[in-house]
Amino acid sequence: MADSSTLKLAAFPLCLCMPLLAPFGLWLDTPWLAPILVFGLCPVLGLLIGQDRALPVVGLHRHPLLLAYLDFLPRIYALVWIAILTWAAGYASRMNLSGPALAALTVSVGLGSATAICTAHELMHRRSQFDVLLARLMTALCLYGHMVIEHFHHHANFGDIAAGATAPRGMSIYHFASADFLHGLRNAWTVESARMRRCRVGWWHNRMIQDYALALVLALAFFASFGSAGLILFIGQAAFAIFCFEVITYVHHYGLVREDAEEAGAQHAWAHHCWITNCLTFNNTFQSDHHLRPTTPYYELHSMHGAPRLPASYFTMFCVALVPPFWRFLMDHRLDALADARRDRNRELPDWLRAERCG
Amino acid sequence: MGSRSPRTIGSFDDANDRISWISGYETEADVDAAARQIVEYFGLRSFVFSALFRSGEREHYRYLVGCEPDWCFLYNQNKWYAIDPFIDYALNNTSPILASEIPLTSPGQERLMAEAAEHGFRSGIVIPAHSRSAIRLGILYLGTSVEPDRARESFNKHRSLMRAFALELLEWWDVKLRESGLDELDLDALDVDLLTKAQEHATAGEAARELGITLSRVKARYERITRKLGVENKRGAVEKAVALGLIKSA
Repeated sequence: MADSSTLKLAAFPLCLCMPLLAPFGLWLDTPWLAPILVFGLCPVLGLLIGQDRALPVVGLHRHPLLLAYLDFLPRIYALVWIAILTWAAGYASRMNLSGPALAALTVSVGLGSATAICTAHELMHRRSQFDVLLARLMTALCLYGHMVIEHFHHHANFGDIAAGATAPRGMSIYHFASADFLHGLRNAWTVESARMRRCRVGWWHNRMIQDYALALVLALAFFASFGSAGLILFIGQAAFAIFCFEVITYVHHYGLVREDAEEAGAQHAWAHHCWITNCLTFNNTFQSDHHLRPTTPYYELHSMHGAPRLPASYFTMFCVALVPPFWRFLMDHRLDALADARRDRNRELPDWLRAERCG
Repeated sequence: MGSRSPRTIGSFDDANDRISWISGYETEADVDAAARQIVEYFGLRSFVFSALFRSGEREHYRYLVGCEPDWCFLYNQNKWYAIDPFIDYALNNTSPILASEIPLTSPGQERLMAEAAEHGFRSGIVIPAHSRSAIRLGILYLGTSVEPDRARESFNKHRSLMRAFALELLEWWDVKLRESGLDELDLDALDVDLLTKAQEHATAGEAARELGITLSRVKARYERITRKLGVENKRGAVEKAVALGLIKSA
């Protein structure tokens, strides 16, 4: 199953389940259904289905209709997610939800929002101005107005502790998430200010100001339309989505530090090519390849030789990261094994530490 | 976009549509076929569109020709582009004008115009088309050999469409040359982004941070770009890229 490229292509729309789980859970009278399925069922399905060994689309017959379908999917996700977010705010406003019920709805919608940041990430790397603007709208809806600028900075500097976005060994997610968000904010401002000085344009050309202004307008619009419950849900889902994004960044690069003058490579991002995770996140597990070819569309990404392997899928490791001692117990000996392999440059990574290959 | 079925232009809207399609045509033959129909709608007979590109001290011309082939041969053989009064006019003016209103200042120019009259340009219209960059200029000549007043009548009636026509033709050449320049030099979209950053005076570090690639990759790319463009440094690469139409001038 995990070998079939056709099945993989057909399964990409599964990502639409992420935002749809929130209303589905309410319909089943199970408000916590979304987190239960994502962090409970998905890891089990990941184990049952196994690693993603499907060849990327680049190796298949690229019919224009197929490419149109794959290119449109992130845009469709954006539409569905925005619709669900708006509906959820309206629902929270109408139903006068209790605290726990509002929290459940916020987390459920927030899971869709976390995937929306992942989708915006796919769109922001495209050359189409429309897609980039859509990505900026999506990040503004997640109150993450500096993400588009900061992410390119991350691409240039991943593996460099001082530049942020790579957690040094021993740092917990709780320390990393806040530090990285603030660091990213400063980085993005510095990068954007330099660009504006260079191009001699006015402050209104600052994309950070634009995107945070849009975020503020959106927050006010939610408040005006759906009252305080709508605003709480709006801010809550954004905070949850940003935290999820920080956790995934933490998982991607924990401890993988580049030495001085070392070229960025596959060895600087953790991988676990879980089939179901890839279907739900636009091939987000192929981080190593994405870092080396940032503008390559998600359906052309594949596994890279030399990428170190996580012990379990992203969804599992997400939960593990929330318990720092357990995280360090699982990850630090992997870092030791990597350091050993790096000292002896001719030595291949042991099988247990080597990510699966496609095909 | 492939070639569209040739259809006679019967109205302003048809002509307007046909002009707006030009930038989407892939081949010169498609543009030529459309241009002939548009010129016919103007009530004229011949046309030449000259696109002038300046690269440093050198000038390059590209032509789209809808007139007697003999005339082109004669024009090139006599190197009349060096004294062409219409080019002089277009370099310094933006308004369309009747060819007869452009003063001739040398015997060579008078000889040129006498020969032009024999080859389908007895009277005509000159429409300059300027790009944002001073190094790229288009000149559309529309001519008729039948009645001298025909050009004036057509000019008064279709002046705005003629202007749009000239600008669309310049745009088509611009895109075509940019694409062919990229293909011939084996440069890709990232190289163009890097050239644009260099044009903005971005350092290699700033380019890396804004484009999301590592500093070492930026440096390696700049080396490759300067080698392929046959220049010594980034500044030279930017100048040449502008001249080749790979990037727009600042």
